[in-house]
Amino acid sequence: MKSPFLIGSIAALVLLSGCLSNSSPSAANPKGSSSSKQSGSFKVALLTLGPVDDAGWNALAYNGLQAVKTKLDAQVNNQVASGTQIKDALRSYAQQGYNLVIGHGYEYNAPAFDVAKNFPKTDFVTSSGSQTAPNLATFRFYLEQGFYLAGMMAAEMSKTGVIAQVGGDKVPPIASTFDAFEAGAKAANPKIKVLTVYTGNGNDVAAAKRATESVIAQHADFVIHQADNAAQGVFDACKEHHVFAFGANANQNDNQSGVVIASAVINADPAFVAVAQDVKDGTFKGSVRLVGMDTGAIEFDINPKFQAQIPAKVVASIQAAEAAIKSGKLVVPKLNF
Amino acid sequence: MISEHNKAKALLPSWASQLLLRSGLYILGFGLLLALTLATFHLPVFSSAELLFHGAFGDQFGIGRTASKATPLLLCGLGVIVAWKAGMFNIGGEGQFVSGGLLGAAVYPVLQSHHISGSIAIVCILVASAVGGAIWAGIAGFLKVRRGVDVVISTILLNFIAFQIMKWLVSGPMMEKSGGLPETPQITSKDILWHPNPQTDFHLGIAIAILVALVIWWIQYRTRFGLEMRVVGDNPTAARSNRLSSGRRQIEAMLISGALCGLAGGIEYSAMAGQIGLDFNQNWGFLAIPVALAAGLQPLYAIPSAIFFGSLFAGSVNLSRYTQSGDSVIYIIQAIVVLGLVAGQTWKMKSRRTGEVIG
Amino acid sequence: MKSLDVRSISKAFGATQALQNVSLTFKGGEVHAVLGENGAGKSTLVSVIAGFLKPDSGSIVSDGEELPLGQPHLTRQMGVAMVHQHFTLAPSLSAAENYTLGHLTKLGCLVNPRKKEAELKSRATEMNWSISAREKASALPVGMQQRLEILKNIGSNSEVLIFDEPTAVLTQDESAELLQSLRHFSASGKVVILIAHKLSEVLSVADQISVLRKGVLIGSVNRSEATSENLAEMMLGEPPRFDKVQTELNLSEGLRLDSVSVLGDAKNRAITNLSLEIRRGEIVGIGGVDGNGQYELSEAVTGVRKIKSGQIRFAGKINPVLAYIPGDRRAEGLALSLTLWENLLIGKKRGDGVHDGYLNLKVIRSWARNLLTKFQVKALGERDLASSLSGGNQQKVVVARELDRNPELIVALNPTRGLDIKASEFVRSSLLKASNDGAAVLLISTDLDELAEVADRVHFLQGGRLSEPSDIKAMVSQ
Repeated sequence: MKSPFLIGSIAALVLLSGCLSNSSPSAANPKGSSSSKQSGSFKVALLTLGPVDDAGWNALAYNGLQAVKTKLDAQVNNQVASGTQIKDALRSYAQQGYNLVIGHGYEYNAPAFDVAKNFPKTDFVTSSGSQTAPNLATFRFYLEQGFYLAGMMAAEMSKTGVIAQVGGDKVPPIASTFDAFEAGAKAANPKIKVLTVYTGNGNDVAAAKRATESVIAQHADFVIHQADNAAQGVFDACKEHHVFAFGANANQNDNQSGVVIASAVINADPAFVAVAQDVKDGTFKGSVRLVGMDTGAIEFDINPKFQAQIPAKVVASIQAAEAAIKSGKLVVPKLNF
Repeated sequence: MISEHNKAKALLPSWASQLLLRSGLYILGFGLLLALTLATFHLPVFSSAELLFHGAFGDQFGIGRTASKATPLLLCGLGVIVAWKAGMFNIGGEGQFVSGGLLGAAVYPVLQSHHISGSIAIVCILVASAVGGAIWAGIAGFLKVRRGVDVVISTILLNFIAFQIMKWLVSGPMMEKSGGLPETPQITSKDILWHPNPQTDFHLGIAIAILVALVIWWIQYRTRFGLEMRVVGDNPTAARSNRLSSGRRQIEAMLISGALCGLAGGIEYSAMAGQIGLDFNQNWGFLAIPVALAAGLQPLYAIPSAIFFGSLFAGSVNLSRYTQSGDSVIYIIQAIVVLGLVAGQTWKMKSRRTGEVIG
Repeated sequence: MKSLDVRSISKAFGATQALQNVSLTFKGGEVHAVLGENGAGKSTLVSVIAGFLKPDSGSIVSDGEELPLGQPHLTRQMGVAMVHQHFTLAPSLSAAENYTLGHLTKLGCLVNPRKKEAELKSRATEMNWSISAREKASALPVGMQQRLEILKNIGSNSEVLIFDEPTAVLTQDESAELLQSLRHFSASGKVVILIAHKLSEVLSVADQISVLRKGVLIGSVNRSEATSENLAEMMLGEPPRFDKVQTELNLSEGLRLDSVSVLGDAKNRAITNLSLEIRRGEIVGIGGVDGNGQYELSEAVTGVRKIKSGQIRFAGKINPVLAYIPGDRRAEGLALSLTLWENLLIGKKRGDGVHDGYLNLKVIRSWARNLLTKFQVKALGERDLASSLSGGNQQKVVVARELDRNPELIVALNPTRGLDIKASEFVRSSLLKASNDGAAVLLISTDLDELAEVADRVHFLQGGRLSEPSDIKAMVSQ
């Protein structure tokens, strides 16, 4: 105990670093949640990789959770968990007696597979992923269908003959949607050129903006993204260079940049409600649940503000393709992961 | 003075009365701080405190959670104590934790390829992780003794190097083959450190940590080696003029310190995380410093101290789920607790100094 | 200011009564020495006068005006200046900057460094002192640091000057010079208060001498009435005994240094070609001013510092059983935050409960208790922290530890520095006893009286070289 000053400053430094580095990922959820400690009721928890106010991937899951709450009278709770916190979060919900735990992301699949074994009374669902168990199912959102239609629309409307896609991490679910976008574009116009860029970080807005600017510099005039929280960077770049963008995951047509011409949307409500209903009824099966346009889980929403600028011919061909997908006549390619 | 001293002795052994006094004061002070902080954040004081308590001690899950969070805090805290008592201000517990975990995770595939599993595999992993931590701390010890590089500086820098090496390894050479996520492969369930009940977080590592605390106490206070380490830390000049090899003791202290932090990393890897991802460093090595300070740098007091800080983390899960607060409140409470301790210590020193004027 | 009246001051620290109803008058133009053993209350008294401590009762009056109590800032503004025992210099600042620190009137006032430097120089010249104004404080010799400390703390308006044991760290020559400068201050009509415990110093400079014992004023005498005997009696409460044990030389071979050269910390040559022989039972004293190789010599003989050339042997061996008693026990002797039994154990390899693998506490504690009793250490028990003891008792702990191993060779470096008479006598008689038991003793000291009292033979170290043996008794009696 040589110098209290030294020790004091070290302690202050340490705690400061603790606060800075640890408080942000699991910060309070702004939408709040109700206390749930009485047992016996039906309890559903949701884990997301990022804050649920991202107006995208995480927000749509939160909306799905709210649908479960209202339609099935469930007690719900949600938390942000990523990396090594995932397993701990899954376990702690199971320990607190939750009936269903939804991990909204590919990253949850492997840890959930590990945790599910020890908690047979809790059912787990992860959004994407391939490992299943008697009490672990996975959603397979057929978002490729929406991306396929976006690809068609971009190829048919592009004046430069170049369109682009900007992604965050290069993980299989994202690569698969990009493949579908390209397939749709090529189906509409075999000569179209499709550029693909990954920033490697779904939270880095600045990187997403730079990536978008680089593809615009290569004459792309339609840009679709899979940049999660960093999507705003894509939209901002498109706005500055007067280029159209597509929204993804959630309906982003109302983004304040005003450049989103249409969105490939996952609507988690029907999928979440259906799986929760199974859990409640005791009919839950640990399987891959493929959900697409036929159940209303995937939509392709054209922004009504741009209706005047979209040729009727384009709208017609998209509507035809959508009908074909719903009826099963058109099968959009997807990767297995 | 003398009669009071003896009276206290007669009622209880002095260590027990000290422990009682210390913990009593801590609980009282902590309760006040907690209430004030919660009130400041406009949280309902009693129900929030109840949530916190329930999450930490309410049922077998809570107790298991507290124990599993206290384990790395205790081991790293002991590491801090050993090094600081020898005058080596090791701030690098986090880097040693990471390098320990990494070496443990690096050994695992080798064991698998030789079909070694179960308890032998676990022992190999834990030994490797202790070695990994010891190497990392040993670098700082060597730099200090041979080159005079300040330990605070070198250990902080070694932390950053360890984090970067970890990032490179888990997204490169050590990455799992299947999923494409930046993580090492998951330990199979039969090789995971023993959990008496797989539903709770209780695991063998807690017993190991407490055993280690006893051993460290014994080394520090019941062997010549420990005494020499403490003399070197308290007054290197006195050690030198008594012909103790202070440099050697300091390096040895760093090696032990690093081994303890590395062991914490190995236990976290083999018992809890099961793999190493980009965020394997959860600041246990840093948080161990307040743990050690609250324990007054005494190895045995580190046990209650680690359990106390561990319970804050365990309880905070509930606080962030069921209140508006989020767990940043927990960090604020911890910061206030540590500042309180430091202030108390300064005050104690000051009052001692006024006493010195006599004569 | 013509005088300073201290009126029935009392001050207690817990159960300890540091000052009890002390009344004293200090007159301008006089050097007034306050004598007392360590713990007698001298420092408390001057801390009260200077405002650092608030007394429990009593008042201080100067020329009919009451001084504020417990307010060092106000007291200083009223002309009371105190020169502390420990230097308060900032080591990495220059002399002029340190001087400036002592004379800042307001926070945020502008300082003209050249002006302050000139001021320092002119005030130094006034005192017949030379100070290298631009040198870093840490690079100045101790004597010059002391002068700087004095000029730093004493302003031109200071009327009451308090010196708290100013000679504790100075050599004989430096002390003599310093004491002369006290006369210089008093000659200009100022009140000079000198705290001391060395009789010879007090007798050489003071006009009036007051003695404190255990917080009580024993008496105040004029220089003309004072003798070292009556002062010592007042301090100790009984006539002092300077019985010297007659050493009986055991002339078997002991320590032998053959043309030894040693390098200092800065790779300078600290000891050059030094040859010396100390037989068992002999005490050889080394005198001289600090910084002439004393420290390096002690480290070389104890084996802590490697020698550059030459040979050190003890009766043909390299490793005799060795005791080392440093003067600065806080820095070198003890680990202050450890307990007494732990401190007694430092360097002990085995025996008395020390085993290779572990410590048998029961055996060790009773051994430690016996040792503390044997060496008259005043402590509650062996589990006290070393920091809780007074300086004299701390030094006794060091002596106990070192002499308990029945050393063949004892190296003592200023072993009584800063100790009071009783503790010093104890340390010296311990050395004499050990040498009677057959140890060879190397006593390095700046205190000539000590060398004269204890040593059989005295050399001087000057610039790393050893003089021929000197007739120390003649030098001291002069």
